Amino acid sequence: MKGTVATLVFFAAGCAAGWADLIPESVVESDVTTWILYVLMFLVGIGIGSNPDLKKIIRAIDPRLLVLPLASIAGTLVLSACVSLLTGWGVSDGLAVGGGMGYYSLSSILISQYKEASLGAQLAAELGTIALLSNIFRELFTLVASPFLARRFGPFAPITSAGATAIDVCLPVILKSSGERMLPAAVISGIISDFSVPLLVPLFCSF
Amino acid sequence: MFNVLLVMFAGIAAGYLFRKMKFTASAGKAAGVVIWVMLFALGVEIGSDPEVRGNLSVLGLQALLFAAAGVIGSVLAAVLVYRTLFRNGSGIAAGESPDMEDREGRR
Repeated sequence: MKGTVATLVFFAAGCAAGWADLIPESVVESDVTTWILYVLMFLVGIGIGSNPDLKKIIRAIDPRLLVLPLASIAGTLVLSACVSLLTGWGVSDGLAVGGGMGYYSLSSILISQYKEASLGAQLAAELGTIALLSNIFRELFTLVASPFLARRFGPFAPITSAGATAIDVCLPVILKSSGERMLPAAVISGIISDFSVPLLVPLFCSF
Repeated sequence: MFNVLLVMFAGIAAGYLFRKMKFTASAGKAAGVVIWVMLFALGVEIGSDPEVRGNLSVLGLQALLFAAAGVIGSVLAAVLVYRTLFRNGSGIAAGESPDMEDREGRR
């Protein structure tokens, strides 16, 4: 939760700074952000590679549990493609937004950087903002609605609704509404959704 | 385009090779800081463009639709997987549970 608020604060501060013309044009136009993005992706990679629990997690996997995040990603992508048709965005744009799987910071950054080639800077920034907001909404909804989702749609529903956040922000509320025994399912689903974001979002940005 | 994936896989290799060293543990925190810088930059891009500024309410509405798509799509998937593979409720609790560090700042 703290992280979500901080995210919004930095985004809003940037909006205010841009609106007030505090940042010189030359910095906005430069490709500094591309290089910062490379640094970010390298750090994300180090985080994955050095995870001390990686082997433990892989050993603990019930193969059937792998189906859960894959189905969740597929379901998200199908409906996101439908929404893109409703809203006038291209299908690949909608897939990129849905591919964020709740990982709003990384997905919005990747989209605003890599959609620039096909959409232009303005539309890429707009789609990045949609990715940021929609993935935050998804996290907030899951935090609030988990008990309802678990009761009405079964113990897996809060896990898949949380997407990548099943492993951190939403984990406590998932365990509370679906039961402690859902920990392996939540962890595996969260990790796979998490890892899929830096793979799927750039992929859908390349179309 | 795929440079970004290349860089990430280089990071995974580096993280695995140096996993015993202290600095790899702070990679998540460092990523959190870089993410804030990038979100600030995205904000600047939005704020400095009058046309985008005027579109913010439309963008918010479309974001709601995409959020609904994600929630509904994934919940349908959860129902389907639960009914087809886990009906008897077995196997879910199997395996030890890895300790989760606080990664909230990374998101």
